[in-house]
Amino acid sequence: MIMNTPIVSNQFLIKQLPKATAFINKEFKVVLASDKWAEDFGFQGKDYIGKSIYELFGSTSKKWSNNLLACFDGKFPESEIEVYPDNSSKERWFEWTNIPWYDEQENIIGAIVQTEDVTDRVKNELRVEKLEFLLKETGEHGKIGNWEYQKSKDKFTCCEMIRRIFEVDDDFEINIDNSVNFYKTGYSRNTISMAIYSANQKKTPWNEKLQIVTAKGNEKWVNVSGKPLYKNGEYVGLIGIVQDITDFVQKEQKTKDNEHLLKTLINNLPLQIYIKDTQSKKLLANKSELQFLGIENECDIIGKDDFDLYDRATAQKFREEDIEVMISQIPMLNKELTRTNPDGSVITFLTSKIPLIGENGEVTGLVGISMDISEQKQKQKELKSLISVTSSQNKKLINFAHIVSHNLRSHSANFAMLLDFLGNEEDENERTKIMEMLMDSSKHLMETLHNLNDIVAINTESNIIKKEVNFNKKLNAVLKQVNNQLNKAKATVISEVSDDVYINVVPDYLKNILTNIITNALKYKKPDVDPIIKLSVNYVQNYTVISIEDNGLGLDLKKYGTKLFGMYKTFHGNSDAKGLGLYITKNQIEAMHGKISATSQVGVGSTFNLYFNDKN
Amino acid sequence: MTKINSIFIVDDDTITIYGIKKILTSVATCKDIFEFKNGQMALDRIKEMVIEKSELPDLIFLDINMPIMDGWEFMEEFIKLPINKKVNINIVTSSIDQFDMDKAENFKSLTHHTVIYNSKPIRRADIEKITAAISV
Repeated sequence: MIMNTPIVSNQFLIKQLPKATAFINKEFKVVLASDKWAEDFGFQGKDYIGKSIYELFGSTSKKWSNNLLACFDGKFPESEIEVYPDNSSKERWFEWTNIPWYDEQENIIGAIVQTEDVTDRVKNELRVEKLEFLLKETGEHGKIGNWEYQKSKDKFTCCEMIRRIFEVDDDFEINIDNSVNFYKTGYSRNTISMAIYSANQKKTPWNEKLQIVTAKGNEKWVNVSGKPLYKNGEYVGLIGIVQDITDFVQKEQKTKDNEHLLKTLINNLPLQIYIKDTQSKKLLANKSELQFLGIENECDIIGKDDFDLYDRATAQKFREEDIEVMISQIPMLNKELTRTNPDGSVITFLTSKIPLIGENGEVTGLVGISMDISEQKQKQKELKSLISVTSSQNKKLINFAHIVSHNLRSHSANFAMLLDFLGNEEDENERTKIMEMLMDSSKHLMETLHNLNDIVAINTESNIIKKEVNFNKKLNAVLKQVNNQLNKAKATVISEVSDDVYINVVPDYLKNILTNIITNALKYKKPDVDPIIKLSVNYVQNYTVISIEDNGLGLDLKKYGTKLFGMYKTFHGNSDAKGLGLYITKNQIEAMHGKISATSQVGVGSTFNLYFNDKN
Repeated sequence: MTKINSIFIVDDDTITIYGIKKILTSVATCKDIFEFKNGQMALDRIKEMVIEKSELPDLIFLDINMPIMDGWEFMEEFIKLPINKKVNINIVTSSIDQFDMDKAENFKSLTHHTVIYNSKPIRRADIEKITAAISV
């Protein structure tokens, strides 16, 4: 049957057709086919002639079957593209063109099927489509427009985005020359002009960040890049893009401004500020912090931890604090810390450490803020000491006023009483006696006034002038003066103070103090023991301490301690005790910014410790 | 004339002692007047008297500012002694300090003895009043 078909003789020719071609009869069986067809569908070497195409292809699309049937009806259906998975299951695309197959009598005896492998074409089309989509979307999202200049036609083409960026009207025609005019006069226009010129002359591409002024007069920032096009080494035009980066630049500027503001603030605050990462390594340090650490450049501290900056113990303490803050996520606020410098000075800080918490709630480090409050602390201390001095002065003053008033009153009371007696007394002897008492009382009053005046002088001497004196020299001068008393009491004075001890004193005060304490030791000696007075020196902090020890009566300090240096306090009932000596001594030593203390034991003796201030 | 058996004057000021004695002898008849230079001496004597069970003074003139034991210290010790007799204690001081007056008031509330605060100079009228109150 097949053999009877007229084309059989042409079988040889058909086999050689360059295009994949198959002749299919009305029973859908392959009558003839080109080798190319067999090759395309992998039938080489197989017996495909006379086989049904359904048998050969397995499944075929319904559309294709209908298409064939249409051909059998004498119709010419349009070409169809169908995908066909080949043996390696790669997708291959074929374009089918089916036409009716006529015999010589123009009877339809089947269909001629031509297929063309259009895989590459389909794939290219897809790629172009994808690229176009991407270009369009990228352009839209990124506000990127593209343009092209063809030299041969002197034609400038650009996409819609460019028109939108330049804000030109629909009827405005952009060309290579007027496009340059959108660039801001000065740097931007010069740069783009040079770029185009260089591209033309030196084949160089460009990529610049420039400013434009749009047709509507708005200033914008754009990123422009472009390159010259060459065909066979000959310049044929330019291609380029323009990206509107105004928002980005503005945001960037804002960020920069904020950063600048923050940096200025941080650097000029009178606080030490730093940021540490979770490893307690410094990420930032402001000027005060650098100054405090004696480091010039911030970069010299970045990445360093406290172990690089402080001694081990201090660093360890700081690190523990850091960890505590970062783990608990609770800020440590205004903690007072002290640090001793190598030179012995103590610095006090007020430190806060605040955890830095990232978006995911995890700690990323901490911000530290410290303030050197040493000065305030010092001031506070000075203030406290001033208050204490003032209050003690005040107390002294009240005490003094009290004593003065009491003393003067007791004398005036005596005068009043005695004068009253005198007025009524007729007995001559008695009158003489009263007169004597009046004289006596007057003498005592004068003496009292004199003493009070001395004390006032010590306390009001605003700028006492201290001199450095050799202690033993002064001591010897005093001993010489009281020599008679010493001899009378058979006293021995032993100075363990070496001859090279100098103390800073008001010489007259020292003389008076030594005289007072030494004569006291004689006054209150044990009746049957020869007095021994021993002097020694010691150094305590800022003081040179002279101790004067005796073997006298001693005193129950538990009972009299608070009154020992008081005014008009006497303890032994001696008639020559006036209760002024130690009071004046204490006033004089305090006027020299020193102090005095005593230890004593009844029946053993007393020791007076004189603290002479070396500094002021 | 008022009669008083025994009087103590505790004061370190000889003029005051002279004055008190002079007025006393002119307004009352006193069997014995004893002088003490400070509180300790007076206290020691009183303690002896308590032990001896001899007649304690009817009247004590007491100064405040004295060496060794002052008037207040004397008062503190004195009110502790087992004395049933009501002793008339006259504080005689040149102090007009409210603090001292309050202290005297305080002692009044602590003891059955009579405590009177007098400022120096002590006048004849004061002593007349004092002696009249305790006349035997």
